[in-house]
Amino acid sequence: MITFDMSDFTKTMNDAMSYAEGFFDGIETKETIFNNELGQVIKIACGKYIDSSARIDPSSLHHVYEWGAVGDPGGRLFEITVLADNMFIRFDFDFVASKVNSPTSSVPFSDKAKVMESGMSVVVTPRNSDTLVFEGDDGEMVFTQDEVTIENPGGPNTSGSFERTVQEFFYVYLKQGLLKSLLKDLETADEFTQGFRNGTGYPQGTVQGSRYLTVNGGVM
Amino acid sequence: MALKDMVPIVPAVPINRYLWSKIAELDPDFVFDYEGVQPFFPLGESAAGDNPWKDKPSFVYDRMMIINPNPFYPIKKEQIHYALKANPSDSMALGSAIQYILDGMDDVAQDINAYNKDRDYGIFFHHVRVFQTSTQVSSSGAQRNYTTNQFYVSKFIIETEYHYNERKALLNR
Repeated sequence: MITFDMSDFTKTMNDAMSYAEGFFDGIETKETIFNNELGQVIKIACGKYIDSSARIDPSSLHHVYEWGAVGDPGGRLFEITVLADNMFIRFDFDFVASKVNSPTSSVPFSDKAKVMESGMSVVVTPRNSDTLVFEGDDGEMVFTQDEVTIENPGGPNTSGSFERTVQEFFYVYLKQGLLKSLLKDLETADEFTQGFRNGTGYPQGTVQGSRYLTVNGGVM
Repeated sequence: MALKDMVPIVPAVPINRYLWSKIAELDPDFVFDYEGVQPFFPLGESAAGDNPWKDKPSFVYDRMMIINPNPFYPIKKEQIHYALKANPSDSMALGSAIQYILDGMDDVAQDINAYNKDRDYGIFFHHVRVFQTSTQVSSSGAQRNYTTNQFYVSKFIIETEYHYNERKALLNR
């Protein structure tokens, strides 16, 4: 007659169940931290993507940088803010005021990024004298007492280009190029099997669950 | 000896060289028009120097992202940002050529390693993949405005994993 010692089996099964429960609880408690970590990595990557896009095609993104600093992270006229919860990651983009004078002006064009991105025309009127003086397209000095309207203050390529670059980043690049690298380890839950052995239970499960939900590296 | 002669070259250089050689194989006349210059310029078109590229397609590239998903540091992962500037028909043809030539994972990496053996760049590629981040035809209105901008800008990411062959030799030189 064959007999089985079910007491050991029951204990092992109970441990396994507790471990699995702990594993999922570990994941759940880590979600907000994980989303925040992931959000921060994506924020850095997005900034780098915009910087790089500006360097390789300055005519379309020069307006979101200080004069003479196109593609330079230190010259950005945009800010990215990350807000993360256990359910979502939100990215907010804001333009900041320019503080550097353009080569042809004695005062900064504060709303440079916002105005050029929206494609608004700008009307220039003389303020401290009756006459407006500026260099024309042909290099000749122009003297006028009239208002001057500049249809595309940032050139023809700036209107909407920041928004398009951000869309490119989130809709194409992030999906195809970055998330796959950062979340590669989540495809297989190796931490689950690595952490389980006889005698392990709920506490070890939570530790392993937390280890599983980790952003894989970062970007430089 | 200058630092630039001692440290290994950036991965984009052997990739560009290989890509141009393959384009030359496919269309020798196209490459002949460039009079021996490879039209790949780092960071911006100003790197083209006094050579105005006018109506000829050209590439601007930038080392965009270095990703470190792996604690094994000798293996590097890098994404190179390419902007192809060309008229509509050249954009379509060259864009397809880039993907046809470079999007081949370890097969392409082996080909790049073999092609650049004569230069001894000190880089061994593991894999290369390509994806496009902007589309040519559905690009913005501004990019398709023939009166202001005759060229399309098509952006590609070339992702590669590689390691340097002779780091110790370089440092102990």
